[in-house]
Amino acid sequence: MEVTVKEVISSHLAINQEDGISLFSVISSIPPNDLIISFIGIERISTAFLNESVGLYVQRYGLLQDVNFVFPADKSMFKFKIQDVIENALLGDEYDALVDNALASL
Amino acid sequence: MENKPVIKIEGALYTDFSGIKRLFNFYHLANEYSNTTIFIDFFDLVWFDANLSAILGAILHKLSIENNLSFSTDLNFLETKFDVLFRNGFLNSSNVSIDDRKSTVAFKNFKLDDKSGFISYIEDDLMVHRGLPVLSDNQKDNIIESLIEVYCNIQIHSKADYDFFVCGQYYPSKNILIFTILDLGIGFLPAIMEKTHNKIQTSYEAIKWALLKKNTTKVNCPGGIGLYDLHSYFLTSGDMQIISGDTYWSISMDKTLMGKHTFQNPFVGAIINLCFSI
Repeated sequence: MEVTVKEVISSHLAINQEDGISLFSVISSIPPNDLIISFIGIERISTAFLNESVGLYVQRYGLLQDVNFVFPADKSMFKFKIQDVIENALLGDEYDALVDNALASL
Repeated sequence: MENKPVIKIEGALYTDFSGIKRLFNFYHLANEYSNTTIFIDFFDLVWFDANLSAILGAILHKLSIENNLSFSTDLNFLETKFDVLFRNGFLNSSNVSIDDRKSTVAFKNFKLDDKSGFISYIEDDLMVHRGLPVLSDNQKDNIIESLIEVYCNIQIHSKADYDFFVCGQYYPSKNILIFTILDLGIGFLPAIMEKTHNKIQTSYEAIKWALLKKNTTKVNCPGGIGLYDLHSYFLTSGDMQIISGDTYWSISMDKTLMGKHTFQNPFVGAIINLCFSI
């Protein structure tokens, strides 16, 4: 099932936590192999929005694949932001330790 | 006739520890009063960085709500000596309205939930200003995204229903544009202290913690990727200041032995000053 973020939040700005919660309530019962999240028509996204939607979703279902997302052609940044949020959501403090170790080895 | 209390704002107020401290002192003096009108005496003011309008505007907003204060001043004097405060929209006058020098980034206050208003302002007022350095599309996008993250942190962590304030000013003689954004919330420390289980104990430590990449915003976690990315940009170009709690921190201060300044009489919330250098 394809879920279009712009339709869910009725805005081209996926910024607020509340909007993230709205998206999560739509996607939370859809299993990953049946979920495509489309960001077409979205101009801006924030970490706060992604934490409350994609972040909580991957904490429930585990890692998502690239095929689960559709991005606007001119918004390549979205992909990297989502990757950060997924890593943070899945690894939490473990992720902090990894970054600490990586920094210490520089 | 009732005598109005008079409080002076005097001397030269730049976007530095000393200038900001004077505005905080003005707040504490005015905070002694309630249910009255205070006359602000600007007669001995010799310089006012116009982006500081955001801080003064926030102070007046807080005092008007919490202490039921109103304010008056000699507008004719300000029109003559500090017309920039009219050009940037901080004050209103039929005599001065157009920023014909194109040096200001308008003074505005936004409701916490006004995402469209804030993002339009950043995209259409700040990021197209002639005082900004030449930025690639990618750099522009990074700065906008970072400011959106800052906005989200204000929205989530300020824990106050007050507006937040912005203003910028281009200083052609110095080739810099300073942009100020501040909120009237609880500042950095309480949420970061909670997140770190009291490991972080001071506002200075909280500011430094929030600048680290690993402390990106997580679910229920303060800090922010916005600050990390802004810090990365301004490390090599311009300067960045953060004022929260009793601490004044900046990239340039961070390179000194002192590292920071401490306010004896702090204000509330958090102030971020971004100094774009051409």
